[in-house]
Formats: sequence, C-alpha cells, structure tokens
Amino acid sequence: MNEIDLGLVNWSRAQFALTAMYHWIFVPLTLGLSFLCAFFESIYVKTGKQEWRDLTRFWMTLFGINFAIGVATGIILEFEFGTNWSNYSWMVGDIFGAPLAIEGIVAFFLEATFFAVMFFGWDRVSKGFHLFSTWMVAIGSNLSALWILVANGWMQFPTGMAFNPESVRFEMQNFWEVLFSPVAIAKFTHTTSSSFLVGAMFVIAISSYYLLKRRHVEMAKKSILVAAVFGLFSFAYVGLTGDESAYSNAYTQPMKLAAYEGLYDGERKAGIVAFGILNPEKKAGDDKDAFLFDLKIPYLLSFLANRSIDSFVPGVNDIVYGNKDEGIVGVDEKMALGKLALADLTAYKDAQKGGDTAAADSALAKFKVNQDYLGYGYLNKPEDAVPPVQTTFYAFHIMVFLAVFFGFICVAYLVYGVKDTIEEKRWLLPLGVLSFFLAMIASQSGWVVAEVGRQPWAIQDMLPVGVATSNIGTGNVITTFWMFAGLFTLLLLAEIKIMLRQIKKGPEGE
Amino acid sequence: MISQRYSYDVRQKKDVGEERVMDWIPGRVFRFYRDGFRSMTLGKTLWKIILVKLFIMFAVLKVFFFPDFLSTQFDTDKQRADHVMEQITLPAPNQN
Repeated sequence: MNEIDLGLVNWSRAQFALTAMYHWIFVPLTLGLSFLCAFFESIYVKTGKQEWRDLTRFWMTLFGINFAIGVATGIILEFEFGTNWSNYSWMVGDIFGAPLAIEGIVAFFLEATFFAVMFFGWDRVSKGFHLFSTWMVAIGSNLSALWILVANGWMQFPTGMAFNPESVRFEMQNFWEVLFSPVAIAKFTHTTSSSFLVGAMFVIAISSYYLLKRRHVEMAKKSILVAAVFGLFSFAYVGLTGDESAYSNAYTQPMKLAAYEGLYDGERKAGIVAFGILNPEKKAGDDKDAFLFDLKIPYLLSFLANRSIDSFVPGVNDIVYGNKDEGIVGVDEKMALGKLALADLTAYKDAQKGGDTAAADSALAKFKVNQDYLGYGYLNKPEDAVPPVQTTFYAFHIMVFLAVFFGFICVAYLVYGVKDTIEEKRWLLPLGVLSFFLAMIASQSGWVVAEVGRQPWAIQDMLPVGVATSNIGTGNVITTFWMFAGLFTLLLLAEIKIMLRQIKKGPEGE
Repeated sequence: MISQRYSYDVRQKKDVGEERVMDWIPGRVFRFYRDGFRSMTLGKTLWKIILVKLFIMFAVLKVFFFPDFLSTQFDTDKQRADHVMEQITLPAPNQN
C-alpha cells in the first residue's frame, strides 16, 4: 500500500495548468479571428472592392501566424494524460475516445483542404469557393473545439455513462447525453463566444495602434467597424452563455458557484458580489467574516442561480457540513458513503483475485448502492472538497469586470466608428490597444474559474486528482514542467516577434 | 479485323480519358499545393517553426519523456485494468 505522493499530484497539476494555459493563448484567437476573416471576405465578395480584399488578406495572415505557432500545442496535453494521469486516462478512455477521434478527423480534413484553399487559393479558385473555404475554416475550427469541450464538460458533469469495475472504466451508455449535457453545451457556447470577443479585441487593438500611428487609417477604420459589431454581438452572447453556465453550475457544481461568489454561508435572496476583497484568513467552518469589503447587488445571485429571487443558494459551509433545513447532504455524510463504496470495490477486487465469484458478485452489488459517492471515499476530511476559494473568486470577478469593459469598448468604437470620428478619440485608442491583452487575461481567467473551481475533482464527485495520477517519480514531472515552460516561451516569443513584424509591415507587407 | 480495331480504339480512347481525369483532379490538386508552397514567403518561416516544433514534440518529448505509462509497463488490457484498480483502491492524501 503506497502513499500517493502529494508533490507528484501538485507538479502534475501545475504542468497541466501550464501547458493548457499556453495552449489557450493561441486557441481563442484562432476561434474568434477565423470568423472575422470570414466576415471581412464576405464584404469583399459582396462589394468587389480591392480595399476589402487587402484588408481580408492582412487579417488572414495574422490568423495564419497564430494558427501555425499554436497548432499541435494541445497534443502535449494528451502526452500528459498518458504519462502523468494514466489512472484517469485509463478510466475515461471509453468516454473520451469518440469525441477526441471526431475532433482529430474534423481537424485533419479541415486543415488539409479548406485551410490550404484559404491561403493558397487566392486567384486560383473562384471567389465563391474561396469564401466558402474561409467560412468552413471558421466553422470547422469552432466545431473542432466542440469535441474537446464536450470531453471537458463530461469531467465537470459526468453523465451518460456507467462505471464498470471489471474494466475499471467509465463506459459510455448514451453518446447524445454526453454531447448534449447542459454543462457541455454551456461550456461550448460560453468558450466560443468569449473567443469571438478575444478576436474582436485583437482587431480593435491592432487597428487602434494604426490609428495612433496614423498609418493604414482607412483599413483600420473599416476593420474597427466590423470588429465592433461582431464584438458587441459576442458581448451579448457571452453574457447569455455565462448566465447559462452559472445556472448549470448551481445544480451540477454548487461548490464552484459558492467559491466564485465567495459565499460561505448560504442564504435566501442572495446578492451577487459586484466588488469585494476576500478575507485571506477565512476558512470553511470558522466564524470569521468572508469579506474585508464587499459591494453586493441584492437578490441577483438567487435569481441567476435558480431564476427566483427568494430561492436559497448554498454556501461553502452548507455544502461541506450539510444543511438539513434546505435538504443539503454534507460532504461528511457523502464521505461515509464513499468509503463504503471504496471498501466494497476493494472487496470486489480481492474476491476477483481469489477467484471467489460469489463474494465478488456480492461486493459488486453493495458497491453499486453507493457508487455515486465513490470519489468522496478518497477524501480525508470534509474540507478537502473545498476548492481554492480566493483564486476562483478573483479569477471570476476579473473575468466579469473585463467582459463589461469590452462591452464599453465595443459600444464606444461602434458609435465613433459610425460617426467616423474614431481617429480623433485619442483617449480611447490606447484603451483599444490594451483591450486585446485584457481579453487574453479574461479568457485565461475563465479557465481558471472552470478548472480551479472544480478542484479537487478530476471527474466531478467520482475521481479526485490525487487518485487520477500515475505512479511515477516527481522528478520526471518537474523536469518536463521546465522543458515545457522553455519550449512554450520560445514559441510565444516567436509568435510575438513574427506577429509584430507583420503588423509593422501592414497590409502592404502581403 | 474490324472488331479488333474497334476494341483497340475504345481502349485507347478510355486510357486517354482516364489520363485526362487524372490530370483534371489529382494533378490539379497536386499543382495547387505545389505552387502554393512554392509561392509562400512568410509561410516558409512558419512551416519551419511547425516542423521543428513537431520534431521536438514527437521525436524528443514523446519518445524520451512522455511514454504512455500503462502501455510501456503492461502487456495486456487486463494487466492495465488490474493496475489501475490497485491504484484507485489505495488511500489518497489531502486533495487540495
């Protein structure tokens, strides 16, 4: 009976977070900018004007740079699954196989055909077919993201499956339930819509830079108009999908919701924290105030979580210690059931090894009674079920605050763009330049909320991260952590350098 | 005689037709990609980066640092399943 090395777990987590966050630098820009390129080219095809063609080709070049540098960086995550997270990888293989295979096939055919037409096809295929290819790249890239997000959504809300102790795998029972789970849909729509916003901010940022430098003024103004409209629609869409995401969290991951609102003691008519500073000393179960300072909008959290302002929203303490009045079973009770499930699973294993079929069947029958609580059996104390509240809370509020800022940017750019006075607004243009970097921070923050907020679970309620790892040396993970940090930093520097060079050249550099 | 000449002509005609078809689809696709790659400017740099990156990822990192743990340690799925079962029935440390 070896103890699992906690250092290994945390280094494996850190490595996964590092590689996922680097990968996510490239992906949202690909998802968002691909649609903007499609819009730009549609205008070109509709108007036939050369300036729109030059503009399209310029943004397409920047899209290509980002795509080329970012391509395959996500594969490293799959390497890590096999090496660092082999228990997890084995257990979810049956669930993840189908979505990831579809993703691979879609990506291959997309990239081999339409992507090539998009870049090699100018003047060599018809305008209509070229435009069709550009749209297919945009749609295909986003559909490709669907399958990854379905897999992620399943980890956050495991559905359409059954655990098979014989194969030690979660086996898919209903593909459509996995695909259309409310978490998967909310995750896909919120992730893609936020990426559209990132794409819009990218175009606004570079166009603002040109306006500040008084270069490529007409191209910049045209780009801004399209990006501001697209950004404004994306802003509305991201708000709706964010609301849907929080609504599904209230039912599927109430602990995450409590963490990103800093809500320790649940309440009816709960308000949402518009701004707050958490008390760093606060822990689950103590009597300290959760906030040093907070400004709340009354009733809104109850409404967003349950669509009713009178409804009860459970806090961290309600979920950890239970709340009989509200019918909430505490983690301590779930742990007791989980430990029964774990003991029955161990008895099943031992009986199987000893060839005692009757005992194995009996243990299996008992295991099935409590198997939904299996994950809780691995926790040592109820407080282990609490994610890092500070990180989740601040990441969530940074994301929301910045999203509102992007709404302001889009409205301002659209109004001044329509009035054709945007280049005179010298106070606004630096904010526009800054907006892309803020968009990247918001996008990363979103993933911090999603992933840190669901700790300690690799698979919600079923498998904590500590049990999901491989039994390998911590030194290996530390070594590869720094190798990845170096490799990705080099790639990022290459992207920035090539991108900046191309931006300095402008559309004439085509 | 007539019959032989007739069949010969038909075969010849068919071969020419196939060549045209080959030229029409695969040939054009080949030339499309070939000319596209040849005309690249910035793309050449990007392809170099992609190839170096893929080499590092698959020929170095995957081979030397990221072996598939279960595939390299065990020969059969039964052994892998047994190993994972052993692992998940171990007591775990604090999760946070």
